[in-house]
Amino acid sequence: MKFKFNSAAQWLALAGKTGLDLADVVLRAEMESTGASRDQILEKMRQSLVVMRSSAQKGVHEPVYSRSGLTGGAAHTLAQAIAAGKTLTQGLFAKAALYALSTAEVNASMGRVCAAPTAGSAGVVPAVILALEEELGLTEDAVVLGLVVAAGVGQVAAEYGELVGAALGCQAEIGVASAMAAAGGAYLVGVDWQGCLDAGALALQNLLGLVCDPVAGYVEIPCIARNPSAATNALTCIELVKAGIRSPIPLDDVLLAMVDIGKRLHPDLRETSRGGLAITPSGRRLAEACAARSCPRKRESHE
Amino acid sequence: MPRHSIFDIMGPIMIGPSSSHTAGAVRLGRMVKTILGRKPTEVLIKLHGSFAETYHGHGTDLALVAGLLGLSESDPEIVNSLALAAREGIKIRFETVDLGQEVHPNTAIFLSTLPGGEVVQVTGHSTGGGSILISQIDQFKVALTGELHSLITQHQDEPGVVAAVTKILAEHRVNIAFLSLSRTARGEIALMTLEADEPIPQAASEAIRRVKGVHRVRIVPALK
Repeated sequence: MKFKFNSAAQWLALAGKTGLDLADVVLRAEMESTGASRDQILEKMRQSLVVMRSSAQKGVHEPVYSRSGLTGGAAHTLAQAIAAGKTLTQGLFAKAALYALSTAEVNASMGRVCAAPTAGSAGVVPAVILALEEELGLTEDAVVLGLVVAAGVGQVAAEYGELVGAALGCQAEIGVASAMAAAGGAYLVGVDWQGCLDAGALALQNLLGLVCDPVAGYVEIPCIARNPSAATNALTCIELVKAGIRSPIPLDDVLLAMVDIGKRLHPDLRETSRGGLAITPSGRRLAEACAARSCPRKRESHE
Repeated sequence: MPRHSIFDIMGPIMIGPSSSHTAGAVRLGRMVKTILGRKPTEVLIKLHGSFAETYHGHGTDLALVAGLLGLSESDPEIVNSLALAAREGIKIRFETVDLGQEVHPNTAIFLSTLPGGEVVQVTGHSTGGGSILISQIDQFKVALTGELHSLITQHQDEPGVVAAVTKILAEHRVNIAFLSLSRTARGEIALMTLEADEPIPQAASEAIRRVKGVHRVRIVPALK
């Protein structure tokens, strides 16, 4: 039997036909295409989880600064506020925001991350999965399967378009990351298969149209703050589907919309830093300050 | 089969911040290291386009040098690559250049000096998501992605050389996926780049080296 799937609808149909769950269908497809065993695939995913845990924690314990000097220390600041009981939300939402922020800062500091689906959006999936693990006391085996489901959503999304800001805008990075996290998270809290994919559909729908307009061309402003925002968006969507709310537009159609919108986005809003936040007065000032800071090394390397 | 492995989606495990400007840059450097085949004494790296504009904040310079030293895109030592190169006795210099609008925005040109003074020029591009393309080696146009196993020969442009090389590969059960030829002028120096599905065995590359008219053979194994 072939476990090939190119769309969310096919994925769901395969699960329905075989009686396997969403994670198992993804695993079977991976086994077919790579020849690896189920255990080998799960072990490799476990290694990704190790990297995710480490990048989600690093910024909590110490302020982490980017190489450009544009950003840093936000996760540490938020961690202190949480510890002091000064945050608006506690538990799941605060933790997810914290882990997403830490991972995004570690990425900007040239630390090690697991891209999910990209480096710039690497904080979203681990934040949701790890916050759920802690708050609900999930086992590591379960968490790894949650990551497999999240990866399945990414696989489907990649069938529709190239998941890079330069091609389809930020929606294809942070939006898809949020959809992956929402579906993986919904799976972990026991939502039915259709509901898991609907969580993904809702999460991406909320972030459609998001442009890629990074200040000075760095994966920092607004990328870092978008990670916690997309993580909590995913949690909100999980909350909705858990209550039985469904997405009127299914994931496949939301992905079609993402590609349609992405193709219509002006190139100035697709990772060129020629529009949006990048060309605001403050965006330009930050870029200039950043260029001035990097000048000494530029001179050094020209010698 | 979905076209992408789940580990293309959940991965790669890499040093940030950018798959194109950091991870791809490491892979470019590593391709250059394999193409050279020997440790250079000096490398001048020219950065063009987005590489020139944003290399500092993305650590593109550190990543390119890390690759030259053979580090992987997930090695935390990438940030120390300039010091590591100095310790290995490799002199590194950077220049920013403007090669014009038509050239890919993420382009680096490596001018590597080998012991003995020979200079090898390699042009490469980071094409997104960590993927790369080597488009030129010295004066020859090539197209190497690092996805397959490559063989590059520099040989006399005369009948029979290509046939002799491909015959040797066939004898070693190596299947050729892509093959391209270019030359400086008729009867002068030609360059063949060949990408194969299987690794090219040592015995095959030695036999190719002995083919009449072949001046030089480079084996560039697949990157992953």
